[in-house]
Amino acid sequence: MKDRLFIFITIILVVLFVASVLENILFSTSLEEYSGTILFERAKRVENDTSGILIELEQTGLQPREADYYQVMDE
Amino acid sequence: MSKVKCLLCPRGCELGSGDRGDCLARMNVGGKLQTLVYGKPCAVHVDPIEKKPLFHYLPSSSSFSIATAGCNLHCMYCQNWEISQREPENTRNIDLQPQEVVNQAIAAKCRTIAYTYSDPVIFFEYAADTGRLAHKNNLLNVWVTAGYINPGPLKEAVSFVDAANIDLKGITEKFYETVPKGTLKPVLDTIVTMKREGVWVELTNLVVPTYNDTKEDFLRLCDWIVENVGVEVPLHFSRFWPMYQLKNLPPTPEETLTLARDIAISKGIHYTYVGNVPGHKGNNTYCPMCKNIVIARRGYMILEYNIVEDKCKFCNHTIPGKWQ
Repeated sequence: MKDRLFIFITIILVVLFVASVLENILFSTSLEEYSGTILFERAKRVENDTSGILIELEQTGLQPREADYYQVMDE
Repeated sequence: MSKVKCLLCPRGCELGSGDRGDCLARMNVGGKLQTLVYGKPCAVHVDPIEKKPLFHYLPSSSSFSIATAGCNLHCMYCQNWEISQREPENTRNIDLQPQEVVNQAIAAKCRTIAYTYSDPVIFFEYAADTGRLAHKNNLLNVWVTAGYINPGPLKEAVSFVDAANIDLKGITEKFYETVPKGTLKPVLDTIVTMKREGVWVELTNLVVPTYNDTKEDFLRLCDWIVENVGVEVPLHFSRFWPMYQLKNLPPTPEETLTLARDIAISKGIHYTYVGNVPGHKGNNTYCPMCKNIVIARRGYMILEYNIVEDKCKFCNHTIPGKWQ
């Protein structure tokens, strides 16, 4: 019984190891995956929906505020 | 919705509504430019000031160091690319408003606040508010910057920046176009302005094999320094380590850094250092008059200190810097 349990656990560990290696090989090419950081989806560009953009950014924990040093350009 | 033009750095990003600046930290939201990183650092550490590197500014003191996500340059070798080349919503940030930065710096017994790791230019408003509060609380401000900033904000910055280590990454426009994806001229202007306005300035040149490591590069760099800011501005030649998009290159050979230092000395630059090579003789500060070691270092650690007030203990020659 003990032997069977040992073999079963070994097989599970080997499968997990192979899966993690394959995952790294197959999916780790982008900068985001490489770092292993959990990403929020980048705030999307939504024309004329400024409150939406701000809400999206705030949901990620940021608190946007008006910057210095810019000029509004004529349309 | 109106387009806006960001006037903070020489890129001058023109942004339609919803567009983000090249630095990733500023965005046009409904015709108003927003900074996305105010009060949201993604890196907070207490560092020895020698790590900036500043070798002539409050040696052995601790510096409360903060950074936010984003950068207005995109160096192929960036050592901090995981925060500098990321949108701020994609880094792990904490909420740390200016007053809290100052409180924590005081609690950690730091004499300075360093705005570093990425570049304070892109979190200008946050750095400015924090910097002014720091002054009110007897703390000094240190910028570690590439100096890629427009004259207007720079003029404001010199009112609260006390010391700066400015990266002079190369000395040709071609290098700046290729490696950091910027331009050289504004960086040179920043160095001259900061020095002229009384900011304590030290320069760092990261020596990257095959990109900026020729004898001609070092000669040109040193000539510019001597001619424009003088021989007393400390110059750090720093060793490149394979990173980010330049993992294919080897680390800078020690001989190349020694050659750079020898050229700087031959050009009359008094304080020339070699960084990222612990134990190199270029870690030390030598008195330019009597040639004795006035500060012996190993990496960031001070082993021997022979400056009394601001003078060499051996010959009484004045060593420029802020020593106490």
